[in-house]
Parts: sequence; C-alpha cells; structure tokens
Amino acid sequence: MRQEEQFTALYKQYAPGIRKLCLGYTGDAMLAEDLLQESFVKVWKNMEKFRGDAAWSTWIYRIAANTCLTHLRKKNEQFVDADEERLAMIPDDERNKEQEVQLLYKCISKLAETDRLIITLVLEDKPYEEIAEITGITENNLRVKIHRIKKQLSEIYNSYERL
Amino acid sequence: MKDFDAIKDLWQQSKPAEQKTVDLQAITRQSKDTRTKLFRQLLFGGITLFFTVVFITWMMYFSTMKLTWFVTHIAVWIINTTVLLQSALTLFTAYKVSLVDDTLPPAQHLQQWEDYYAFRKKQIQWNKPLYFLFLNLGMGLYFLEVVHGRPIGYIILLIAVYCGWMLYAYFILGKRILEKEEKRLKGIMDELKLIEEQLKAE
Repeated sequence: MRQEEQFTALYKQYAPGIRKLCLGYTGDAMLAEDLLQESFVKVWKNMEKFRGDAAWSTWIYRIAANTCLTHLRKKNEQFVDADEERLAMIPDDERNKEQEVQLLYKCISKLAETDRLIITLVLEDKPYEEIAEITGITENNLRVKIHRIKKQLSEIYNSYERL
Repeated sequence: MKDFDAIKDLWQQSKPAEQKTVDLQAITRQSKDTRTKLFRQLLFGGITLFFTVVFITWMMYFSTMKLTWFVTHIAVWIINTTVLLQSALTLFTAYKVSLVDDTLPPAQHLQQWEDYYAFRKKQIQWNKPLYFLFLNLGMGLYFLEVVHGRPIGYIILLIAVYCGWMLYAYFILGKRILEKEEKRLKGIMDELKLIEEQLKAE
C-alpha cells in the first residue's frame, strides 16, 4: 500500500476518535479541529519512523496526546459554549442530549491537562494497557489516577447539572 | 446524580462531528504546529543572515564601491564573521528544533521541549551582547574610512545618529525584547514542568 493510501486509511479510521480526544482536551470545536490537523500532519511526517512496536492506534493517539499537551495555552483561552445557532437547528430531544454532551466537554475541560487526556481515553473505552502505553504512565499509577479522575469528573458534572 | 457509567454512555452516544475527507496537502499547508513554525522561522533567519554575508562580500569586492584601507577590510571581515557565526548558530538552533521527536511518550516529549527552551534561555543571555559587541566593533572600524576627509559636522552627525540608534536598540528596544522573550520562555517552561508533574503524580 502506498504511504498516501495508508495515511488516508489511518485518517478515516482514527480521525473521529482523535477529534473527540482533542475536543475533550480543549472543549472547543475549532481548536480541536486545529489540533486534529496538527496531529495528522505529524503522523504523516513521522510515518516512516513507525516500526510496528506498538499498534497504529497507540502510536497515533500518542502523537495526538503530545500535540495537545504542548499546545500553548493562551491565558484568555476559555471554554467556548456550544454554538447556539447550531443547537437551535437540532430537534428538542436531541438538543437536550447535545447540551448534555457540551456540558460534559465543559466539565472535562475543568480537569488538569493530563487528566483530560486520560479520562477521554477511558470514555473511549481504550484498554488500560493501551492508555498506559499512550501516556507513558505505569499501569498501577494509571489505575490510581483513573479512579481519582472518574470521581472528580462525576462531582464536577453533578455540580453543574444541579445549577 | 449521574455516576461515571452514565457519563460514559453520554460520551459514547455523542455524535462525532461530520467527517471531512482528508486533503493531505491542505492540512500540511495549514499546519499551525509550533515546531514547524519555529523551525521555518529559524531556518529563514539563518538563511537571511547567510545571504547578508554574501551581499556584504559582493558589495566590498565586486561592486563599484572602492574602500582601500586595510582596517576597512578587517572591519568587513569582523562583520562577516560575526554574521556568519550568527547564521550558523541560528541554523543549529533550527536543527535542534528538528530533532524533537513527536512520537515519544509524553514525559520524554515534554522533556525535549524543556531542554530546548532551557538552551534558548541560556543562549539569548550570552548571544545577544556578543553579537552586538562584535557587530559594532566592525561597524566602528568600517566608519573610519567612510568618514575620512568629510566635514567635522557630518562626522559628528553620523556618529551621533549611529550611536544614538545603537544605544536605543540595545538598551531600550533590545532590553525590552529580551525581557519579553525571557518571560515567554519562562512561562512555557513553567507550563511544561506543570504538565510533567501532573504525569508523575498519582
């Protein structure tokens, strides 16, 4: 398979998940799109380095995690609330769901940077072993972290929902 | 009260944004990646400085400009060497940026950036004063022949304008830029350290 074809196949397979990872990290759709593109530019540039020691998924998610973590935050960068116009076009029951999802993104963006990445991977149902490989954290440490982050996220989400 | 499983269900039910078709050339062109931007900036700076040396050499030896004093040749070579070394240093910095590996685990990736910014922070502290000193030494010697035989008023005006500009550029403008750059680098390094600590913490 030519490199370009392989890249296209990888993009089709992993871009939706990476987009959600970036969205969870930034809480901002536009910024998430930028980070997604940056991640895949790096995937393209580094493809020849891929030796198959890890799965493509792990390797691509690691690049995306690095891209998110080194994205320089501007101090005034705040979570952008869901686009009202877009929400207005969605039917009522779906709109409620969409609002809940937006609230979830908002809650995730309240966590520490590395916690955002870890919990997004957990929410995506990635096995702990793979999350450990992506983040470079030992599995034991990761379990402790995940337990803490789950509790923290539930608390933040519930506190917002009560408002 | 939602527990974590309900949150997970909500996340998994969320529709991913509409999948656009991939246009590799477009995403490469539009890349806002810090490393690419930094690399291009440094590469451009290094190449520009190199061509400055080529231009000065051409002007001195191949144009109609005729400066004959030995000291003027020394001056031009001091300037050329200074600019050439600055060009090499800028290209070396670009090379350092190019070595950052995006595929390493996050802690090692962050460490690479931290090392780079620490290098830059040290570099700007010694590099700028030395560059300024040697460049002005060369310019000072160069002016000896240029102003020779000119009216005293012209010489005083030229020296006043040149020194005034250089002192302003170094002590006011340069200092301000240096402080801003140091603050920016410190901010980035603090941020990287913070994320590194988050990775280490339980």
